[in-house]
Amino acid sequence: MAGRKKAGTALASGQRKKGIIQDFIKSIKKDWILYLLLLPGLLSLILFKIGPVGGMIIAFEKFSAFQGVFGSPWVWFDNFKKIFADPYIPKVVINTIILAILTVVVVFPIPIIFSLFLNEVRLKWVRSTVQSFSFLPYFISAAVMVSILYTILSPGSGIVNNLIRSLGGEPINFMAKPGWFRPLYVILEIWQTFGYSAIIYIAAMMNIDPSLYEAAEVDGANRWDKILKITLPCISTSVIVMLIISVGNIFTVNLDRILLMYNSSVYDTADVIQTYVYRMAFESKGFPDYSYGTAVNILKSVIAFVLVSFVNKMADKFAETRLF
Amino acid sequence: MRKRMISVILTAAMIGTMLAGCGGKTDSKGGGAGQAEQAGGEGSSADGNSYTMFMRNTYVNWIKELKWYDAAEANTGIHVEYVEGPDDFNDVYSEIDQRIISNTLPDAVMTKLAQTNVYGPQGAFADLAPYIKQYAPNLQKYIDENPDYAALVTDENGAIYGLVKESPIFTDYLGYRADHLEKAGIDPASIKTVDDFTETMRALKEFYGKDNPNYYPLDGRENPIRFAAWFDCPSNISAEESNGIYIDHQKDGSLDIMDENAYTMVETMKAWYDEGLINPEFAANTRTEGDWEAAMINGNATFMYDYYNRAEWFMANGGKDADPDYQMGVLDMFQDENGNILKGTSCCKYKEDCVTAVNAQCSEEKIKTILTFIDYFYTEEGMIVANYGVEGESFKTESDGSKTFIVDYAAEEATPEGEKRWSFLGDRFTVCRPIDNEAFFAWNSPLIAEAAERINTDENVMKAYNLKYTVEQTEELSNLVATVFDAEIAGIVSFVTGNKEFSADAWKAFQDEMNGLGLSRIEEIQLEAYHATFGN
Repeated sequence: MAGRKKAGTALASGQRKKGIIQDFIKSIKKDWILYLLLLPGLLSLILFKIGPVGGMIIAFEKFSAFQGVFGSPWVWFDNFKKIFADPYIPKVVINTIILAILTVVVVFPIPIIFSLFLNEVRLKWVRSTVQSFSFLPYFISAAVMVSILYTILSPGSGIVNNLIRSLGGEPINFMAKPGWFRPLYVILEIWQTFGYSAIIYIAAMMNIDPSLYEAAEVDGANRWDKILKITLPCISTSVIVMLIISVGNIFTVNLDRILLMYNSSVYDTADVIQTYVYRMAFESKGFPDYSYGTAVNILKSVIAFVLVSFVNKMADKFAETRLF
Repeated sequence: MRKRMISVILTAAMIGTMLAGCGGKTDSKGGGAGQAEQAGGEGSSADGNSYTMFMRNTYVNWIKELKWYDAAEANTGIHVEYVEGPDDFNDVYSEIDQRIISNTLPDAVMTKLAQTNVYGPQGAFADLAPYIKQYAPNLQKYIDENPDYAALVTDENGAIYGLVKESPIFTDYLGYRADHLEKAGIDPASIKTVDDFTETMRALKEFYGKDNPNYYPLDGRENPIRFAAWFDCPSNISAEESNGIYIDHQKDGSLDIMDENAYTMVETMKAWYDEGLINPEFAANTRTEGDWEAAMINGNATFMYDYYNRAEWFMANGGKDADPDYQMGVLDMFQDENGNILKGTSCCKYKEDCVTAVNAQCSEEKIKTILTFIDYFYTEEGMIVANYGVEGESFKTESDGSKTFIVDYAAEEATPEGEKRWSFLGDRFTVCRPIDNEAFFAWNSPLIAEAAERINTDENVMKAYNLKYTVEQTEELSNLVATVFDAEIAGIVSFVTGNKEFSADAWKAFQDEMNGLGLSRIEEIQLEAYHATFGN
């Protein structure tokens, strides 16, 4: 009886699978143009995003470009053991975490606040102009941004030090002060990304039902009440999704920017996992250690995945919203 | 129907664009002849009297301007088609890795010894030893006569996977604005010790700095930790001991922090910084080359310690335009308190990051062509062409047999970029060849030629050694140096600029920290390599 039941279940499962495949084929036949247009994106994802992940296998090898991924000798977990034995790793990990936490804590709320206030601007042309200008820095390269920063903060001729001098102070070489590296990095991050992030929140605000505001007005709500009790709760899903994504990127600092801002004076605070890996793999005086660099990156990704899962679970528990 | 057509075209265009960069540049005539032959335009040259070579783009641009190089190609009947790489050295070596992965290595490549030592035995580069014996008798003679060269390029099995470029040997020069010193009433001959130098800078600061807040007597670019030789504490190696990071820092960045004089160096540099004698951006390692050059030209600095011919560079690049009295000079090496000369650090005779390797897929005929061309530069005629040019056109032979340039250095070197010129700056990579140091320094302005004759003596310049490391040692060293060198420079810069408190205890803690990061292990490996190289 049980056997028959099992056979019946297997049969049903097989039929279900067949049904899904048939439905899929039917759907392709019906909407083949849409599937065709999906193809380049899918191929791009497979070839350039998912495919290269396989290359991470070199973390378990002593990789040589000539021997290739499949020909290089296996060293299993040697590179990972090396990470934990490396006396310098704690320093770069701490620097990375501090920079990442600062980025999340300081940078994350700015576009939310900005979009909340921008949404309150009555004149549409003012709103769209401000939005467009705030978005522009996103397209400026890190090299140009850091050059602007150097010019503004130059101890000899920079506008900031000229101001300090005119107020009777001594010029400060901001780019050479370890204490200034993190604030400057975070300021550049805000400058470059807040307009871009704000678009997501503004788009979410567009979908809020206007009747909610009308009802609140009838109940005597002022503008602060409407921001705090209608707008903010209505965009909370977007905020949480963005937060989860930010936490996922917690170890992903902007390497280009750091390398451009990096010098011996700020080394104590500016040397992070990525710069260390970069030195090992691409600035090596000897034979580049791609495998060790990859091992460090894998470890970094695993920690980021754990963090994302944790935040996702917390978001589900406390805000009933989750990314996956 | 139209919608479908547009969709199909759009999809095809998107996929086509996306995949445009994929795949190698294989041509139809490859037919299993190996990657050099398969690589089409950038791969092997089909012509029997030519070959392709991958090289840093700056070097390629310089080669295209050299008249003597054209003469060498004409004399050998061999033409080299250069494949331009990136400008940055690290990017050049990364591109070699990428070319190995994508099977697009040309016939020959500019690489570094660390790469040939690994890729050679694995089969990427040809073992040139048997071919040199057969096709390059002059190069073979050079190898036989220079056991240090033979030891460096030959592996334990007798294979030679790369030929190292010989380099002229020189130290950095302390250049100064002679007109500045003259106007301030200072005799350069009175500057003999570092203390004299400090006093001179104080006098100059008072003289020029009182009206100019941007004036700092000593200026420079990038790494400010370059004065170790003045304090007798550069990294060094001998059969008995290895001190400091020696590998790749025989000249620049040379420093032994365990030497007690290193403490004096940091103390002195800190005093320079505190008194405004050294440009603070330079001391903080944030000074760009452009800012430094501008300061030297517009009178905001007097001294610089840099590449041997930099003093002349300022004379030729705006000095005289900025100030008609502009005149650079080069000081003698400093002496210690007992009158002993403090030798300057120098570069090694063989430049391990400019190595010529040959693609293992090349046919014997192609290897013969490559080696025949290189061998020419080891013949008497080839050495004259590469070091002096063509008789009657660029040099003449004097009655005593010596050679004198008959073309003007300044006029030739001022030729606009891209135009042909006579130039014999042997520190630049063209082809692996012997260097005539006398010719190299003679091909300079009178200012530098005089300084070279005065300074470039054994009495003034430390000998630098090319050490032979095993693949395992190279791997361990490069990882350790990647950590320790930057940390060392950063720590000293922090002491000098006051970002960290400087005291005997702090210095001791810093030394311990560096040893903890691996400095002592680096020294151990270097010493092992010294013994392995020189057999004692």
